[in-house]
Order: sequence, then C-alpha cells, then structure tokens
Amino acid sequence: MAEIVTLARSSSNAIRSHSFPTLESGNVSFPDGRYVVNFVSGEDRCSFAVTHRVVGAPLLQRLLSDGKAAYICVVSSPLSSYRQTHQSDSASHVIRWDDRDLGESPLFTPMIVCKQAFSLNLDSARDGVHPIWNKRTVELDKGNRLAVSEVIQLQGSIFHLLSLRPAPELPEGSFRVEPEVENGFRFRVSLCPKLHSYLRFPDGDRLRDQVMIHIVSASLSLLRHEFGAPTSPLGSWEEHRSLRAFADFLRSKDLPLWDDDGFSPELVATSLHPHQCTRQSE
Amino acid sequence: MMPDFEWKQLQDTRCSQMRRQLLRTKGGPLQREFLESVSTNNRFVDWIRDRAPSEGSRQLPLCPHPLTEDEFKHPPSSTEDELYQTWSALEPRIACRSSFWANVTLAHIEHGVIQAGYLASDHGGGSSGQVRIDSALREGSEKAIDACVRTVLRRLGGLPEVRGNRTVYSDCSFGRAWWRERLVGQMSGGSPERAQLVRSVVRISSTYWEHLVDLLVSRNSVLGSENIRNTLILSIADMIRRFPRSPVSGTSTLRNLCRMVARLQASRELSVLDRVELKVPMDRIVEVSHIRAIAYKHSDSVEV
Repeated sequence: MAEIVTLARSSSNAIRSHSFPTLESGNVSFPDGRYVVNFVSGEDRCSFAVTHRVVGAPLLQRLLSDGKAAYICVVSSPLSSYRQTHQSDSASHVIRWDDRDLGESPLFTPMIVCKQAFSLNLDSARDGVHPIWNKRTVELDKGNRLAVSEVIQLQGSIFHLLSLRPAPELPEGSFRVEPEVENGFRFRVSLCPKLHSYLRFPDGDRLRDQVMIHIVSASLSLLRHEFGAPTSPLGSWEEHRSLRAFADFLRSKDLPLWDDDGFSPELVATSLHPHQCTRQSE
Repeated sequence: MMPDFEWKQLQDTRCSQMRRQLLRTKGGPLQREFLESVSTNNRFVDWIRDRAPSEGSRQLPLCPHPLTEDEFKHPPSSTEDELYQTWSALEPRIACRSSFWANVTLAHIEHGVIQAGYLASDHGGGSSGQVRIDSALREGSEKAIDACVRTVLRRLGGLPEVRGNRTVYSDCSFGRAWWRERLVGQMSGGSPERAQLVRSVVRISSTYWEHLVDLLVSRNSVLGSENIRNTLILSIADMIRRFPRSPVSGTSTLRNLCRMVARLQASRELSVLDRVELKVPMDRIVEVSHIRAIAYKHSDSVEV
C-alpha cells in the first residue's frame, strides 16, 4: 500500500493563485489541511483501490457530504496520449485501465472537484480556510479543483518494473530477464508461454510466489551487472525515473542499492519477498 | 484476441544502444558506414538487423502498394487513412514505441515498398534522400553527415533519446500516419464530413502537428483527455471553416491558445465537463485567440 500526503504547508514550485480556496502543495488556503490518498494495487496489475481522506479542511468535508463535490483520480500515460478521469461520490473507489492503452506505468492525479456551480460564503472558523478568505463570497464552477494531490507514478515496488512477455522460442519452464530502456527503465521478462500464462493470473499459489522471487532476484542481478560499474552503455541509473523511485524504495527499507558494496541480489530479493516456509500441515 | 507483446519489433535495448552509438561522434567512421549502407536496401537492413535483431512473431501487414519518396515523406490524407485502416488492430501501447516502428519501416524496405534512401530526404521539398547522402559523404562535413544520420533515424522509427515522447508521433512517417488518423477517427466519430474538418486542423503543417503532439504527450498533457482535445480541435476547425485565414491556423497562436487552456485547467478539471459544457470555454478561448492575434497583427502593421 502506498500513502501520498499533500500538505498545504509543504513547498512547491507550482504555486498558483485561484479565485477560491484550494488544498494543494504550496497553497495556504487551508492552513491545517491534509489531503491523504492511499493506493492498494490490484492483483491483476491493471487496477488500484484508491481511498481519499481530507483532514483539517471542514469546508471540503461539508461539500463532499452535501454532494456538491466528488472524488476523482486521473489516470494518464503521456507516452501513449492517454488520460482518463475516474469520478466517485465515495471516498474509496477502484480504478481500472486497459493495459493495451498505456505506453508506461500509469500516472495518477487524485483530486476533489466541484460537481456543480454555486456561490459560497466563507467563514474561517467554520470552514478551516485562511483568514484572508474570511467573510468572502466565492463563485465555484463545475470541475473547479478543491484539493489536488501530487502526480504519482507508483512503481517503487519492483513488480511494477517487470514487463512479462511470452517467448515461444524458450524451452519449457524457462525465462530470461533483459533491460528495456526506451520508455523508461523496465525489466523485460521473457517467459516460455506456459510459464507466462501461469504467472499472469495470480491465484495465491506458493509456487508462483517462488518463481516471482526468482525473477526479482534475476532482475536485481541484472541491475548490478548493468549499473554496478561507474560507466554503463545504458547511461547512469539516475537518468531513469523508475530506478530513482525504486532506489528510494530500497533505501526506505534500509536495503543496499545495486552499486553499493555488499549488494547481494538474492538477499535483497528475499528480504523484500521472503520465502514462506510454513508446511501445509502446520 | 492476440496479445500485443507478440508484435514484431527491434530489440528495445539493442536498438537504443545502436542509436546512442551512432550519435556519439559527429561525422565519425560509424556514421559514414551507416550512411553508406542507406544507399542499398539490403545493406541497410542487414546493418540494422545485425545490431538490433527483431523479436516477436506478429508482423504488421505492409502498405499494399509501393510509395514514392514524396508520398512516404508527406503522405496525403488518403494514404494515411489507408495505412491506419490496414493497421487498425494495433494498440497504443505498442504504437508509441520507436523500436516497433523501426521494424515496420525496415519490413517495408525489405519488401521494396519504400527505398532506404527515402529515410534521408530533406524535411522540406528539397533534395531526395540519395542526393542528400551523396552530397554529405562527398563534402565530408561532420555537421552534414550527422544531420543526415539523425534524419534517417527519425524517419526509421523516431529518435527518443533526442526528441523525447513526441518522436514517434511526428518524426517517423508511419508512426505519424497511424497516430494522426487515430486522432481523426476518435474526433470524427465516423462522420466523413467531420473527419475532413479535423484533418483541416491536424494537417495544417508539420510544425502545427508537432505543437499539437507536444500537448498530447507532455507530462501534464493538457490535450490528453479525449473530450478536451476533441472539443478544442473542433472549435479550431470551426473557426478556420468560418475564417479560412484565421491566425489560429498559425503555430504561435496555437501556442498561446493552448497556454490559455492550460491556465484554465490549472484551477478547473475540464475532463469532468460534458461536451456541451466544454464547448463554451473552448469556443471562447479560440475566439479570444483569433481576435487578439488579429489585433496584435494590426497594431504591428500600424507601427511599421
């Protein structure tokens, strides 16, 4: 699960002025406001369960419960010129996409927007807005952005970096991992067709988990091989946004990076996804 | 349904390495060797395939008839439409990859539908590709050789290392045809009249198309949402229909106009509006851009 928090008081290089209060990074319209979004990846790798939560912004909570505002999450893939808006009246909703439309891992922009046009008389004490808005009347239009999260590309987990493909030329039961750099770094995992269809549809099978750990370990070895030395034909790993995100993820777990001394692919792989050794009978 | 990953394409990493190596030294021996190979179809195909073999099994059907150099460089809308219909099974996920289009272009060369030399032809109406290659190699200027190599790579499948996301949409002839006609199809909703109207905008010039593409593929893609781009482009088309010499058909006005849309989008998520609701602000933005550009032009001529 990933949690993204947007704080009004955080710094931003995208400070904008609006004719109404907005909860977004760098905008102090809601001084105590926090917009929290949780993402839980679907097992099909083509969906996310998104939960929005607003804290310290009573105005937004009121507009949501009055049905004047709605939660949305924009899913986009600029590379394949895809942008789709998913709207919900409920704070928790599932967003899905068709993998064939996306040229890269999707970007998400969660927001809270107005559902209709209306006038609003603001009161700092009641609404939690900055005193600058106190006793002011604002006009809102359908679509006005009341809360905006950062744009998120969820690929910290190594599973989001794997691109599984069937390779009929491979012997039964085998796979191969190669780097793919054209549209952001990913691991191209070529699998014999049987193994490919077995891995594509998770069913909680232990063997599947073990194969995936093997693939993760091979992918980490590849990172060590390609980027362990100071110069690489693929350039520096820092040039790849997806690898920067993955490096942050490993650091957050206190695990070494592929260019650190003592990096052991199998140890990192099994630390991230430990083998489950419980016997069936236990 | 066939999964898209079976589409035949050049090996991604090898293809990218090949392009990087080619760009490393301007006018160097590798660039010369590469350009010399472009003169002969088979040599060129072998040169690429030796360095970036293809993978996958499903080959895109070829264009059903040979193309002239001009037709390949600037395909008329009928050719682009024909190519899009031939390739209608293609998915965006694969159609945004330059390694895929490079393989498609190579297949067309292998089967004599186009000549390898076409890839080097001038952007404008100038020299043919072969003349350009011969003159670059004869003169030996590093700059001319490098420019020629870049043109070939751009036409082959795109040059993402230099041109970013837009390259497949605007540099590669076949990729551009597919994306442009896909857009026409989405916006026209099957109406031939409306398709003509949309083509009158997306085919104004290659620079105009490139500006539109920038807005489609940028990270905060203003025109990424289908309803926003459809409404905006139809508003522009309508303005051009009413005023054929309207400044909105110029790239600088288009740039200003799109800035206005981006500013509006910063405080209002336009994708949640329906078609009728969206038409009001889009028509207004196009109208204002038209009037402002005319006023600016007028004030400029008064000063002169």
